[in-house]
Amino acid sequence: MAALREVLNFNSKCFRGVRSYFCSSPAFQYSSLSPNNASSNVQKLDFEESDTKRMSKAMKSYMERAKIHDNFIKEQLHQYNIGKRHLANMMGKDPEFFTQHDVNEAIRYLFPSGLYDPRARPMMKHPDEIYPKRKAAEFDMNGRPFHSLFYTSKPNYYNLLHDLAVKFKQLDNHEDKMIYRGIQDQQASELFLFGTDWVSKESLESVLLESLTDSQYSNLIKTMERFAQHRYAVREKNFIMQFRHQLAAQTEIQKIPELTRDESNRPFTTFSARRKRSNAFVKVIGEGTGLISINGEDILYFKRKQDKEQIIFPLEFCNMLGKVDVVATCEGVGMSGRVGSIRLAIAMCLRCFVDAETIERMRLAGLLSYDPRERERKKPGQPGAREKFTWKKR
Amino acid sequence: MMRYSRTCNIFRVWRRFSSISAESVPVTESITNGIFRTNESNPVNHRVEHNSRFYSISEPVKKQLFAGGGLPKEYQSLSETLNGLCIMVRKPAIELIHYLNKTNFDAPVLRYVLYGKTGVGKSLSLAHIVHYGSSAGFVLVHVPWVPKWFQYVKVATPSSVHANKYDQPIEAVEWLKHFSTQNGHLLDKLELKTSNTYTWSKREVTAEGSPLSELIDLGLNRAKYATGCIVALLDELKKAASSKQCRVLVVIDGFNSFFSRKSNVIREDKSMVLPSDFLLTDALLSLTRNDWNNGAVVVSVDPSAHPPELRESPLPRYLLGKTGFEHLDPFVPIEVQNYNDKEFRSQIDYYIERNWLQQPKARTDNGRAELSFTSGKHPYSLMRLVAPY
Repeated sequence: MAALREVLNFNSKCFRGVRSYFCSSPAFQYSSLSPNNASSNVQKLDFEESDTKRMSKAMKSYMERAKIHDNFIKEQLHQYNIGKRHLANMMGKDPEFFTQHDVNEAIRYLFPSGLYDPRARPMMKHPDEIYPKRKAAEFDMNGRPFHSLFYTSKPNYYNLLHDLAVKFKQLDNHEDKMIYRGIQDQQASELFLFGTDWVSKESLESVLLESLTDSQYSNLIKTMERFAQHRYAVREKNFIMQFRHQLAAQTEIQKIPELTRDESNRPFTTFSARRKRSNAFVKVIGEGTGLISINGEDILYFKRKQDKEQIIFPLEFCNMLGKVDVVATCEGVGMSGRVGSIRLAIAMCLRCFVDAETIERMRLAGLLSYDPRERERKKPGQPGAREKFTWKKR
Repeated sequence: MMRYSRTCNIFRVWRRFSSISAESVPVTESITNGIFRTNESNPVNHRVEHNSRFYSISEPVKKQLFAGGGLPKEYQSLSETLNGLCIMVRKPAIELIHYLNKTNFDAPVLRYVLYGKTGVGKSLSLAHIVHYGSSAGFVLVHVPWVPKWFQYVKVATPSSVHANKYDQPIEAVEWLKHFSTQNGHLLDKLELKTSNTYTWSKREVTAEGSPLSELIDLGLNRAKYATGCIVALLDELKKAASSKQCRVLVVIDGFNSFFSRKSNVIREDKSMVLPSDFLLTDALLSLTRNDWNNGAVVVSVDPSAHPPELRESPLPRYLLGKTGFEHLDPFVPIEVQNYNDKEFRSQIDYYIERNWLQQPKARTDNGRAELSFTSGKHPYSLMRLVAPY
């Protein structure tokens, strides 16, 4: 109840401003802004009839277009549902329990495509996913917009900013009250944002159904940031969380392989990794003395200092030097690629021997990421990938 | 003022040339409470207790023994930087010293072959043995690095002594100089005499019964006959040793080069002169045969003494080939291995004490582990790993 009153108050406050700007004529008077409230005490004036008639024509065509679109969507939905049942029949499955996943599988089976881009391949999806959402009617039969900020041309966006402003004021009032009462109520308002990030511009656009420029988006995010840094921002946690998405920690996603026991009852894991056209297959055995074997030779298989250091790096990082044995075989062109693949494989194996905190540290150090860099192709008209022939002015 | 300058000088001398007199080198307590130095600077007394400890060689001894070669170049320059030549006493050298001390010199000469990967410490072990031989009163026949005689020959002339063989005048003179520096005082003391007459030309003759130093001087002055002089000298030494006039220690580094198939000398018809076609080869092969007594032969075989195609294995049978193996057989093989934990620790302690390793992490166990695993405890790799260049 209080919330609704608040909304109405807010709207009316806002509206008063709009009224002063747009409604210079004293003839127009509005009592409430609620779009559903059709009982507005509008005094009908002489010229209003013609105005409404003029507007009606524009409104009519708009309404017609809206109707056509609605019908179109309905038709598409109908066809989609029928199509689903047809597909289910074709695939011999139960039409009642035919999910979107089954639809995708069926399409992939019936229309195999060699196209590269997934979006170019044949698909059958719910019309809501294919056809962009449109806003509901933004103004009524008389041309009167429902939203007070309609004439900003991005009412939802600016509405959001206004909401923020009001909430800011409310938090400030609350803070004043707290200071007046002498309460040092402290909940760190920044901590609850950990592990999340602001939604992207695209997702915001799809929610607001309005296109935003980059500066508008960054403006909004900056305002949000400022808002979230308020001492009592926790009170508006739900509101803020609408605009933040969870950052999934890699370590939660990657499954750590199991340790198995070999003949002599020592735990070991294996992993194979690639880097730059070289492969490595590494076995890390626990309860070891630090023996390192690469293709049957010791670490001096690699002649360069940097190569040797690369092999040692994951072991040293996890303090496992001298505690595990490493048996590696590598193949492929080039020492650097071989070394990189062995390093990645050792790091991946070491995940089984260390605790979660060290794994996270390894991830941050870049030990657990595949290095996707490849040799860049030489282009015609150039001696190398980037190098150009000598430029002659004439 | 005299007094002040004298003490000042002594202080400067002690600080800069701390290894000049072996007795003045203090036994430094290692930072890890182990001891990595030893005061025992006479290699004759080196025993198992001295294993993995550094002993220092004084400057005059170093000049006498190694002026003509014998220390690996990088090790020599490093020792100059680190203010004194110190060699680690390791198992192969201790073993050899033990054998040499206990040798029955009436029996035919025993051959010892040091083998191992390149860079593992064979040359330094041989240097240790050279010092031992000098301290124990052996006459040293020391060839510092055989491939130098065949891969970088400056001049090769057809021999005057032997029809089908080749001389190496410059290398021979160099070696004679090295020999006389190493053994000069000993030869004077022993007063060895030639047992044959050597006619070099119409006017130059070395009569029977002339001192060996005359032979050496002739070789030093007349490069043309230097190789021949060496042949004669080694022959005489063999006879002298067998007749108990002196005791001879033969130390050769890179022995397998005598049996390699490459040299940089090419005849006019583009055919290569093999090491077996050189007169010096014959001389030394004769000396390393076990047909004499009252001496010992210590030899090393190294893959790097062969051209790159022949470096597959560090083992003696492969490196010597059939001829070489049959020549040396039977021999005592002594393997030189990578550092063990104690030796490695000692080496790191030495570097830290000499301020060669300056990172504080080097003193921690983690730092030592990192060095140990990155170098694979291989001596040469460790030296290159901690080098600044």
